[in-house]
Amino acid sequence: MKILLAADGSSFTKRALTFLVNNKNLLGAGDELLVLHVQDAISKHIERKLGSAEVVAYQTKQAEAVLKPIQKFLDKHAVNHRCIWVTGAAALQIIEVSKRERVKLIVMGAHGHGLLSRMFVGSVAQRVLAESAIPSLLVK
Amino acid sequence: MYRRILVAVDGSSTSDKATSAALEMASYSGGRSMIRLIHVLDEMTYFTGLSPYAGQSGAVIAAMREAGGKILADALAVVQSAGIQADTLLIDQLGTHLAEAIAVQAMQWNASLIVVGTHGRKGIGRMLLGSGAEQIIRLAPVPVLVVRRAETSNPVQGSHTET
Repeated sequence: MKILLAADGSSFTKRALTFLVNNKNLLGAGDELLVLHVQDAISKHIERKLGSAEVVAYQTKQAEAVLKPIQKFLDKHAVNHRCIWVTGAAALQIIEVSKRERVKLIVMGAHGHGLLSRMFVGSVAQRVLAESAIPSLLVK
Repeated sequence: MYRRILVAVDGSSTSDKATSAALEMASYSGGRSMIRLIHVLDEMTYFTGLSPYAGQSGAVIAAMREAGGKILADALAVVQSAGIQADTLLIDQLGTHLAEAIAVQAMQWNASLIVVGTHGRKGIGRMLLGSGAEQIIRLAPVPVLVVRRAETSNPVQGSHTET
């Protein structure tokens, strides 16, 4: 089954990757793991000040810092995958991309990053769960 | 692969979807998975004045046990007909929170995955999960697979303006 992994480079991403390589059967033969990273959109105001080339360069650098190690890890474990990154609101992009790519399962972290975050379900996960009809696996 | 899958069932169509999803997860392990179906009696739904039985606790609890047993038996039949090893558990200590009961059971039974169904919501409430599902995810010691009823979870239209 085609799976989307929402990757932010946090410890949840690491646990999700461990989970996926331990459960390779979930990805059938020929199925692809789509790794999606979402960069926050930079406000137009700041973009005007800095110049959009600068902004794109920054976002690319940030996204690559998250995706490169993931790519290496998945290559090492021979998982058929494709990494993409987009800008925008994380939850909305996860919903959009998973729909467009017709994925059958979304894998993402259950919590946010803050000090008290373990006490809550993260806002991204909440929103994806509330608005997407695709089954979602929340990694703890 | 997943060996021990804990599924919370309540007899709703969403919970049926959770059972199907658990079966699908189990199928990826080549029949080596076990499924445990858990139903938690929730006295609150019966004592908030929504039920004509409110106040008649003895008869109510007996009726709840019977209904819970039937929900579990129905779900068990579905799982077993798919050829997956399964058992059921009825938590009938009234006052137990659903999410707590599931977390405790997941730890005691050494579950590797929890599967729950949750309803999509409308309007402002759609931004939030059902509090039951939210608490299950929050307290769960293992990954949680959340399935939704498809027809109620259409994404917000036209709210995405990023380019």
